Amino acid sequence: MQIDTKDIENGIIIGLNGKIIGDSVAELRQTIEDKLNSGVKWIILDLKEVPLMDSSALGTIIAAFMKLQEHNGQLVLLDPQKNIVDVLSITKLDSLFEVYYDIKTALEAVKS
Amino acid sequence: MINENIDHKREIFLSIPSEDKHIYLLDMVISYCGKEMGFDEETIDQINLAVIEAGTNAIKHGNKNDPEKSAEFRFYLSEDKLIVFIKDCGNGFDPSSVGDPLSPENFMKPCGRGIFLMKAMMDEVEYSMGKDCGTEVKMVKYKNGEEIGDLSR
Repeated sequence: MQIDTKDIENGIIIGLNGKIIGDSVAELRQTIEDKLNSGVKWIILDLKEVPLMDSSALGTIIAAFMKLQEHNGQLVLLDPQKNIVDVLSITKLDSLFEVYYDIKTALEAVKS
Repeated sequence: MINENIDHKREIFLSIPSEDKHIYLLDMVISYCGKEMGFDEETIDQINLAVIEAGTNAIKHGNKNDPEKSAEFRFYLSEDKLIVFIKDCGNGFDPSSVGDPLSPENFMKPCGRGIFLMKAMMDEVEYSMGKDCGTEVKMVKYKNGEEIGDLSR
């Protein structure tokens, strides 16, 4: 899995490319923790190029969501593939995460 | 140990050391099995997720990430279904001890969704436990199975 980050003002877009399984979950967790510790207020997680993520990856995203929420921050998902949308639906996590399909709307949401 | 006579055309056996980095091998084998059997891409992804969840449980919870211990996978390919067995060397595990991840008390927890997803993605999931021989999971995906997400099975 490849991770690209782009800092914007007090937040960050984390672009992921590849399956988030096995040891790549720890890599994602570390990236997010580092950014949270540096004080970001929002995260846009770009899932456009993620064909599969396991429950550990979901757990990592939930933990980040909760930590940001404690500080009135936000974590939103950008352009997830159908498989990911199905998993979010089955686990009812689609009621927790805001999902956007274009970066402009996602940025407006986290900056508002 | 789940004992069963299985009518199959092909059998694949995989034994991997209990480290996260080897999970990718499951992805490769499932992709191969799925294409060989004529499953569509969406169904292959469902099987992949279920086997990766079971494999991660075997490595992490069963074998406690000990690379000296192996997690074993058997894949039986037949005309109408794929059967997968996953076995660890742990102390046994009771799947009923895992709470419902949709319940309010568990919903925000970052863990506890693996078995739930396995049941949602596969047509059959069966656990067998033994104190001396670890945990074995049998999962079945039929060529003409149910839609995903039916947890009444």
